[in-house]
Amino acid sequence: MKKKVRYNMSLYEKRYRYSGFRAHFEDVDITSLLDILVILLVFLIKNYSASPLEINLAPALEIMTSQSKEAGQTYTLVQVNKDLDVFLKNNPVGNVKDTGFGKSFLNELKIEAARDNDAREIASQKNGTKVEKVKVRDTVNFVIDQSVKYETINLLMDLVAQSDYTNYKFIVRSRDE
Amino acid sequence: MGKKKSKQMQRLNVVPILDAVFIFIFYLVLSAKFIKFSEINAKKPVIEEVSSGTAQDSLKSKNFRVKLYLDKIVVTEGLKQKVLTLQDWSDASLDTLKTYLVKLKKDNPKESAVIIQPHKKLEYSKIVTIIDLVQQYVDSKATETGKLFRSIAFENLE
Repeated sequence: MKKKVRYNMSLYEKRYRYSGFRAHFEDVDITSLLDILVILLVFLIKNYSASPLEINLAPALEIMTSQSKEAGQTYTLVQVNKDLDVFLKNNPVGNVKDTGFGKSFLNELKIEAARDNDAREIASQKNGTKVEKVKVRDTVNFVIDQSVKYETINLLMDLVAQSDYTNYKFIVRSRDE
Repeated sequence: MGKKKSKQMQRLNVVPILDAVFIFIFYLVLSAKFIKFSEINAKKPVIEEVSSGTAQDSLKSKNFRVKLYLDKIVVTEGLKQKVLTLQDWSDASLDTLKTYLVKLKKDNPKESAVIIQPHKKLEYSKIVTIIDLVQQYVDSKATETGKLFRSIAFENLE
């Protein structure tokens, strides 16, 4: 014989069902909260930048603002501050006024280019793609203090042209209009 | 026998929406970059390959040059460097130059490159000011990128 399973209500349930008791919840007015959230959302969406470029600016470097809207890409970063100190990937490599700066900077750039090339080859091997002889033709991002003279920029561009990097881009801060 | 209609309004459950909004805000706050960086592309003809098409095309181009001296700006055309306009560094002159460059592009819609020749003692800020004028955004369908002159090349001032 099948045993009847009887459902036993809990004391709380009995009280709730039969005593006419109804829980009364106070409505919380969330209108103001929603207003703030909407304002915050609009602000954050407006400031959202699709550019993957992240730069830790070197000390004593005032970046130039420009109307350019082209999103910057991540490449080898060279920074020059107002004291003409040069930073390669955030590491100081010397001062433009130093004797023998050109030679040491060029060596550092070549090492960096070789490193980039190796990393790319390893990545292509890992992905299982055909390993091609990659022609080292890469780009340098320049972040230059606004007071730096053209002769310094020209020197750096020449050094970059002599190394395995052959393209350059000037990174600026976008001006909101 | 009229049936009494319940006039109770159905309350919209906003809790899941609020959850989603909070997650969205959390994501935006974490990924927010408050400094927007952009790039200016530039070339130096010395490193261009002569055999490339762009170099050969440049021979046919009008070779607009913007020469940046410490006290004046000169726009020239062609290999003989015929002077088109001469301005100084005052705001009014820069405005005139801006208008002039728009007119220049209108008259030469196929031209997309400008050579900039800065003086060696000229500050980077002034160079970027001129680049902004040369690459100003225009609402014209004539340009691919919306920029007045798409490419910029640097040359040393002789």
